[in-house]
Amino acid sequence: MPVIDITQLSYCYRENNPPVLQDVSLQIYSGQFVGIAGANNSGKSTLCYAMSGVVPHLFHGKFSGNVKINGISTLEHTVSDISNQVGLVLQKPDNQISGMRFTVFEEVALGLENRGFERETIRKRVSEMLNLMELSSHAERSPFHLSGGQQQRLALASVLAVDPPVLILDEPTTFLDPSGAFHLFSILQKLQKEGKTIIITEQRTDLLAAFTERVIVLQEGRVRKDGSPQNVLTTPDIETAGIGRTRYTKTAELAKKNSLWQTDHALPATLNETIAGLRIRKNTDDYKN
Amino acid sequence: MLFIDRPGWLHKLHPFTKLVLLLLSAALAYLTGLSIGSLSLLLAACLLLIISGGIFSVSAKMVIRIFLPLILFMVPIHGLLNPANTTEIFSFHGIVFYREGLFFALKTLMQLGVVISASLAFVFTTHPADLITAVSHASGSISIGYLLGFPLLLLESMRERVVTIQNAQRARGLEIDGNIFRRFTSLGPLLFPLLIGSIVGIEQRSIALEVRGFKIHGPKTSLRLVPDSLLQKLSRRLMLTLAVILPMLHFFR
Amino acid sequence: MTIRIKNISFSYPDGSRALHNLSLTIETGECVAITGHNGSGKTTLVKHLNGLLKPDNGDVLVNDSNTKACKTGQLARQVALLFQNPDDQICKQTVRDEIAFGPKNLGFEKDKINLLVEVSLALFDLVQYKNHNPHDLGYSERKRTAMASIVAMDSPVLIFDEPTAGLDHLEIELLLKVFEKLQRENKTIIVISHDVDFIAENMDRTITLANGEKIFDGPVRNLFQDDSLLARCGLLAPQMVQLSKSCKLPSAALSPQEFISLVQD
Repeated sequence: MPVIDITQLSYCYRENNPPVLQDVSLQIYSGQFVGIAGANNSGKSTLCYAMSGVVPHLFHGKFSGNVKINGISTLEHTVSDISNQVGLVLQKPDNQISGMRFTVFEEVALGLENRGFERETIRKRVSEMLNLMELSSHAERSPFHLSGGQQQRLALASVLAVDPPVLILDEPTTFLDPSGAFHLFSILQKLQKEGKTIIITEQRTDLLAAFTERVIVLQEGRVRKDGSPQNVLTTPDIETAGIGRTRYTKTAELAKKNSLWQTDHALPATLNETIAGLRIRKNTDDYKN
Repeated sequence: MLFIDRPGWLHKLHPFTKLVLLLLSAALAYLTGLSIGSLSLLLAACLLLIISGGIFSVSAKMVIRIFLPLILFMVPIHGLLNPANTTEIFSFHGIVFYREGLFFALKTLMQLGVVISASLAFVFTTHPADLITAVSHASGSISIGYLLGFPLLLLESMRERVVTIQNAQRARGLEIDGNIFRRFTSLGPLLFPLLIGSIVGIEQRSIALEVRGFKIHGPKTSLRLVPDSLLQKLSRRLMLTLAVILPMLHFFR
Repeated sequence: MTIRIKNISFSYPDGSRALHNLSLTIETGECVAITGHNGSGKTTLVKHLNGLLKPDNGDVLVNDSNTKACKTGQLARQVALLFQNPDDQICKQTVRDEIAFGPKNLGFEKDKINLLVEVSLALFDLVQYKNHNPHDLGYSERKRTAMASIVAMDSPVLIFDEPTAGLDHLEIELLLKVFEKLQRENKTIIVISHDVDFIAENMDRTITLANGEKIFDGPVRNLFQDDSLLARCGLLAPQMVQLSKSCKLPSAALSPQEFISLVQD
């Protein structure tokens, strides 16, 4: 049974507005690391909202179709209940700070307090989360005084504290620097290895190619492509959907034209795939003559 | 945030105990018709509270900041112009000060002094988080605690944003200093983004709160411990009773 | 329009040191990237270029006039600066008015304002939205509106803080076309960015800061080839540089085209 099962989902925020999602059907299975790609306004955020119950519960638009989490429709539960199953991290780091707690430690504890955990359990769990997100040295600081990258890891820690099996992250790296973004993806990969299901929207295809095992392309609210990163991210027509192919793909395409590509290799999306397929000398000495 | 983090017996009191103490001193100062003599005793008690609580120097600075302009304003106004003025105390180059007005000013300032020093004893020694926790506990609703704490925390992030917005508009050629007219016209481009930004922020934040289980049913716990004791509970009852009964006694006498 | 920075130092009122003894010159028509860790002083530096901040020590000369003697309003004619978050500046009810805000503040003639606004609307593909309220539009339209409002000021120097953050592929392509046009008009473009692939392909020179000091100033390639330098400023090598290294090329390629011509010989 899929963890998330979407059938014929359509949604628009206001009556008479064009739909943001149209006839979306997809299944996400336990333990997958799924990337969602698409232009701005293609429906990525709304899809994240729909998978976490925020749509239709907190926005009152026109909702049709069905979203099931572990077999139960999101319509039958509140967002807070769903959050036990699905953790949601948003794009802007500072807007996710609750504004209810004065220290980083207490901020992470909030979700656990709301669920009535024992004080000792909370302490232990929060310490673990701060360790995992490398925030332990900031435990007593105000959440508002952290950098964007730290705030984003704090948001993840807060959501992760209650141990939801599924994590959804909506463009979490927009305001992070490259090492911050890489760091975040590495943490997610680690979580996936521990059994979490990860769903992430992301503009940077090199990160999607390097970390995810499945990429879904949204265009104008519809699912256009769904498959392995290498298959999906190398096709030229994703560029018209607002997704930039990696430099590796472009290099391989040029190499192909110049007979520098091994014909039995598919176009690459990652560094390693590119190195494997190139027909060039791979030794500095060869360039010296 | 005015809270000053240092060990002290006032810091250890439950926020409600300090709040009730504040209430009682306000009731005594304003509603029981105390004479200037009794008021000075009350004021001395407040002073003792502040000194023993280890917050004298900060409180003194604050009191001077608040009282200096008040004294400069009230003493001459009432000493010279209070309608009840009859008894002349002294005159200076034809300017006459009267006893009634000066006494009125003194009494008003002392009453204010009691309330302000008791308030300072509260805000300087109470971490807002403790107050929020206590209120949430007592009311059984975290929404009320949230309404209380959020503005405190928001102010800080707002202050930073005001500077950013100012910079962004000045970079587009907006003059924000100069004559009053110019300052007034530059207000819109500064306030509008602030307002809209806060509204958008609230929408996002409410989503973030929901997904943290803000509305989950069932018992909630609190990481923060706000210690209370039977003695404090009893003294709160006692102080509350006094704060109600003493003014009533005065009123019906 | 030359910008000369001579030995400037700056500390914030709380005492934190933001810039230390920093000097550099940016000539007319250059395309410069400023890189560095969060908190390395990048934004503080560019705020000195349009007089939002004045140095504690040293001088900033914009076209030979010292910023200490100028108001930010005057300097905005010379140096336009776009901050990262469009929502920190959008204050008008229509996209058109928002874009006209800067030119109006600079006191341009009505005809000139209209022309500048129309051109900017077209450049950023916003003509269809010109009478919309920016707050009814999505983030990317608001970001484009903010960028258009800076370009419309027609200043010889334009500074963008993280222009590619939050933009999709098509929008980045659009931004690049705008940059090309600005370059043809011999404008100076200064970009604060973490987007190494973008910098590698589109910028000539990069200035790198760490802890308020300049640790690198030179051709983009030299920065990206230097692993220890990259580590010091929290950057990863661009994709093409990683590929070049893995293929053990004698020098790093900055674009796919360059890579192919390097391996072809």
